[in-house]
Amino acid sequence: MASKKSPKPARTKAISEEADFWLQQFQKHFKFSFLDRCDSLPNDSNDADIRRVLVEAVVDTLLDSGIDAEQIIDGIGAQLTSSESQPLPWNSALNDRRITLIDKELTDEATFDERIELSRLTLAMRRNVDDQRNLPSEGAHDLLRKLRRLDST
Amino acid sequence: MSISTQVQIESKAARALAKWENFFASEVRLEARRLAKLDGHPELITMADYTRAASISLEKLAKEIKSSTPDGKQKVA
Repeated sequence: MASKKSPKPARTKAISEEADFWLQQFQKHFKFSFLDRCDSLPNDSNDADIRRVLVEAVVDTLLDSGIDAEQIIDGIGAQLTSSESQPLPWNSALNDRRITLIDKELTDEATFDERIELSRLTLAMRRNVDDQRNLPSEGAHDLLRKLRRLDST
Repeated sequence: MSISTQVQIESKAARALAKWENFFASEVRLEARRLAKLDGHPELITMADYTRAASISLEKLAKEIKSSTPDGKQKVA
């Protein structure tokens, strides 16, 4: 009698206990950081004030967790860039802006917002450079096609 | 998302809730780990472990709320 092979059990999706613990700690520190900041808000604070302290609390919690500032800035910039429905069309104005921001960063004059902006622009530039249409090989292929045409005539 | 500013929540109440949430989550994790070990699968804590652990931890949470609230005994009774 042929034995029926039992189906292979599906791999259980799981996270490490360390990641789970990190999440718990992050939630705790984030909530208290946010509440501390809310205490200092005036009674007539609006949605924009609350959103601002929310972002501040997130950044503070990330810094407290040991992630360095560069990693946070790159992470936020990458996330913002990847969530854009339309990729930033690269042009000389954006390139000039990027150079200005690099100069500011080198002289420690860049604000947090500007550093995020620089990270986004850098990613957009890299995306543009990596784009198939901009690859230098495209030009070589064009040349090859032209040479083949000449050869066949 | 618009945040209503019509209703105010006492800062100490918001903090207490954050503490209770954290207390409950910690208890569930500890209890679930214990249950998984008892059931012979310490390497994977399952949904069933968390469900059982949550039920057990609810009682501990109630005690914690009582002990952390000055007038908790009167209110819960």
